[in-house]
Amino acid sequence: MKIDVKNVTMIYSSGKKALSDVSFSLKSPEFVGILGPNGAGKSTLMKLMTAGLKETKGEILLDDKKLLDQEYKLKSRLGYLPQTFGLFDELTVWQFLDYMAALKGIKDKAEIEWAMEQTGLSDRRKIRVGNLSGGQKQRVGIAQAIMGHPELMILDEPTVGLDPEERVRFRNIFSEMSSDRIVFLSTHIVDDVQAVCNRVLVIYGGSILFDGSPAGLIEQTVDHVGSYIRKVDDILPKECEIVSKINTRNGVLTRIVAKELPDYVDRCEPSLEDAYLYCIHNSAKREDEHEG
Amino acid sequence: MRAKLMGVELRRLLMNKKTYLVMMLNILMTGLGFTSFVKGMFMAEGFEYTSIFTNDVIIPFGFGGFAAALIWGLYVISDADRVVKKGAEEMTGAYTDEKAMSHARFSAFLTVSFITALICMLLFLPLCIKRMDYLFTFKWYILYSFAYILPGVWITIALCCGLYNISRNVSVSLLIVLLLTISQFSPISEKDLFLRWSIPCIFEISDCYGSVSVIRFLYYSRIALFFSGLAFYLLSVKFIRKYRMGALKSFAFCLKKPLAFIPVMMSLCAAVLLIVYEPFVDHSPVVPYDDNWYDAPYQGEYKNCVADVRFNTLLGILNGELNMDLTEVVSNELFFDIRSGIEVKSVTLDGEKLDHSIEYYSEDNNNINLGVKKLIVKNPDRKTGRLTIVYGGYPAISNSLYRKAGYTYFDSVGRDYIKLEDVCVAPQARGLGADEDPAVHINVPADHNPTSWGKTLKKIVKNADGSVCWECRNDVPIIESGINNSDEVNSTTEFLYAKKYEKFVRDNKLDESIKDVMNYCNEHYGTLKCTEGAESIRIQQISNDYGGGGAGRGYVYMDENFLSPENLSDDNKGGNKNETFMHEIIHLYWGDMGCYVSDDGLWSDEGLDVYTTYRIVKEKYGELYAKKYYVDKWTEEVKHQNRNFYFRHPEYIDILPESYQATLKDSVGIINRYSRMPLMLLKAEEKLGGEEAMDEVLRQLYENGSVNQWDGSEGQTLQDFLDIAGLTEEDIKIDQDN
Repeated sequence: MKIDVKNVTMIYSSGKKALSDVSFSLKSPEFVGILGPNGAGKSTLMKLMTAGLKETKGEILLDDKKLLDQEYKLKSRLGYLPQTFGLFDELTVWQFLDYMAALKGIKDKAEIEWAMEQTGLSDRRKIRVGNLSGGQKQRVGIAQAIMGHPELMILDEPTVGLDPEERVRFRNIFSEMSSDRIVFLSTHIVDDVQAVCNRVLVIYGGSILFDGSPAGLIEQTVDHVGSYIRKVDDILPKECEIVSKINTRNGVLTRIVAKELPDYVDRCEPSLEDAYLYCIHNSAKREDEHEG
Repeated sequence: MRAKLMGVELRRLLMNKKTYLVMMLNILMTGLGFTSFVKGMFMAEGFEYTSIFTNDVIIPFGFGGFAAALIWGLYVISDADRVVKKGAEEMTGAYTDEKAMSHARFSAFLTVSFITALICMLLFLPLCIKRMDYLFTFKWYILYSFAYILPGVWITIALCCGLYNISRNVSVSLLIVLLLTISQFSPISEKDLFLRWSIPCIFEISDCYGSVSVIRFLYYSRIALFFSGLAFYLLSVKFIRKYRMGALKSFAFCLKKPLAFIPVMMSLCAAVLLIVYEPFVDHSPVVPYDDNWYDAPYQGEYKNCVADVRFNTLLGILNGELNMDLTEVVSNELFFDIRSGIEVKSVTLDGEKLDHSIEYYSEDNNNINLGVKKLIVKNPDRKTGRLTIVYGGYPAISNSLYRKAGYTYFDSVGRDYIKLEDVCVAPQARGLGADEDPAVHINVPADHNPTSWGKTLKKIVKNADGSVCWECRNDVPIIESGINNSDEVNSTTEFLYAKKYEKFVRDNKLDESIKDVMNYCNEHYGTLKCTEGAESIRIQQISNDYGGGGAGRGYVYMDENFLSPENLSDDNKGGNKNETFMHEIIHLYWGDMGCYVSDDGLWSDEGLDVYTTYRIVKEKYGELYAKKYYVDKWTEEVKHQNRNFYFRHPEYIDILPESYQATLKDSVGIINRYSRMPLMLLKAEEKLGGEEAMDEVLRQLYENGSVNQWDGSEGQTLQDFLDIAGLTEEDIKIDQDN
């Protein structure tokens, strides 16, 4: 399977520009993580890729043909977990998954059993969806997305509401599944991307800032990450972005990213989170300069 | 794919407890329709339904269907809104097309409501069988209960799905549905019963024959309205939000695929064609009264007039050929009346085609459409010869009659029953004279027993198709033909009744009862006046498609309800069904006499009937029996009435609410008619010195009575009776202090 997003711009009827000239390609097998702050355009991009929206400009191709011309083909190969979703509260877990399986055209009931097993819902099959906790409902959402082993999995913040242990378990499941399909994952949790994705897209303000491997993103940040013990009355230079602060006996150990690090800062080995923040920071700064 | 989705949605609905709640409410509301409270609501419309079928099938299922339409409509809207509001659509929409999903949901609702309707029909089947007893016909039960309980629900579901698809707003959708529902009670809908989409008009249905024209009208109107609803729904699907666009943009997007509008257009065309070309009601405009037509000038003479009429009992269509020999023609145009809906296919004179036209018609200057049209045959050369008119079609009812909700004035061509008015049977000549009545040859199913105003028709030939040709020679060839039994009560009396009653008539020996009544009444009061001069007497039960009763020479007919289980179980009229039936037959005499009916019920033919029944029963079963089941019962009823405060102090009735006043007055009237008056007659009997003297007075009273009840006289009154008997009102008064 191959998806080509070509120069896609999305402007909502309210006039809000959500995406601006976005281009990238996905080819199976691939596990792509998309990182970006709230409102960056991640969900819009995912809705475009699931034919939930129609692009204002540009085009999205599925196997070299227009996606919107072959919606049926897309839908039959898709596993999608939206960021916010509702379930039919009156149905039990099994009934709901059975309903979704029927919508997805899955005839084999073993797929439902498998999805429940993967998401730890087997012992809750007879519980009504309305009686589940937020995290359990999220798992039901994941179960319906992975059910049927779809060729394209688009997961919008799938691990929200899950405890750390579950989060790790699910990202491993997604990773295993990505061996022979496209998994397109949106998340705020950079660790998840770093752990499992072989490709990362950084999106900000509707534009793709980076498209490459996590190592490539990290590579861009070498010599741009440092740390120092910050005193109370120290003033942080404007061009620096704080990544983390840890209170120590000697003061606050502050980790920063900047295009040019101050002399008093010790250079550090960058992580993906540092790289992501550096990327966003640089872009925001460029915007400020442009506006200024 | 769509069929699969429908199955998926159906399963989802069936897994939802709310669906079962709605189904239960649907069933409960139908059950509520069997209560007297709901029946009272329908009676309050101003029409009293007397047929058991209407009371025990039509009203319950009509009410159930109406309530169900509202309940299902509400459920459809709330379910659609829940899917959208809860965000489930976000997920389901990724796997399926929104339009396909809408179709699946729509079909699933149609299916579940259909299942509910079937459950209702099955659940109430035993009750209806019990209530209707020997009048129950499975075919009519299925056809009518289905017509009343389901199509209105389907139309509402289509409407609600459509409204929600367009508005995506619960309040707006509900408001419009409620307004449209209320509009069915508006004067417009009252004038055009076709517009009553969720509450079809409640018609008086014949228990004997099922009123086939009504069922055709019902199904036709339901189908036409369903196509309208379907067209609206299919159009609304084009407004389903696509790619998060608004309603209009989504619609505009759909316009890019014009072929997708074909189902919408097809449904719309079907609805429009069905509505525009509906054959049941004559919607001709009212035209000014045409004096020249009503009192048509003399146009000539004819002889050997024979109309041959054949029926398609499945479709309700008749086809005929009228032939007459024109012996003298003094006009360039020949006028005929013809039923609306019947088309003239050709008019020829000795095989040569004559021009003809059909024009609108209005009679009596009432400015109403009578369901009749003018057929004008052009004969400019005033030629004589063999005139042939070939005609056929579906007889249409006048729209002024059709507007009267409840009545079944439809002409009827069905397998079980055929009822045709004269202008329907054949074109009726206006200004042409003839020495003999025209003959009509009607070809009816072999098991039919046709009559025309009581006249027995002459069987001519059995046709190759199994039908039988009967000849009717009558100046007003109104035809009534049904699957009837004809019993020879005695050498001069025939009892004709619907085949349905055969077992009942045999079991209760009703033929014997007729004989008993006629022997007794002929001996004590005199022979039936209306049959004077006739060689034989026919007592005929007619369909309540006509209603009422009447008499012609040698012919008395009564509405079918006089044999109904409810009527024959009315213990006011006798001790058992057999005696109640005798009561009805006695009506032939006292009704025939022309009896004045007083408002208070203290003088009416009912009282005379009850007294005569008592006398026959006394003669037949002995004094003890008659005392126990008649005199004691009257005495007890009157005592009970006398104990009633309001009866003794009627001045207080006026301060009661109107409904109580009406109930009290009704009950006083019933007791006066069926108990107090018979007791008064019994007292008169005592005062006169015995039964023989009383019989003499009654014989005199009967003799003095007028044969023609419509001659303007008020009929025989209590004073007439007292004058003959030489008594005063005081002499026969039943003391209120008893």
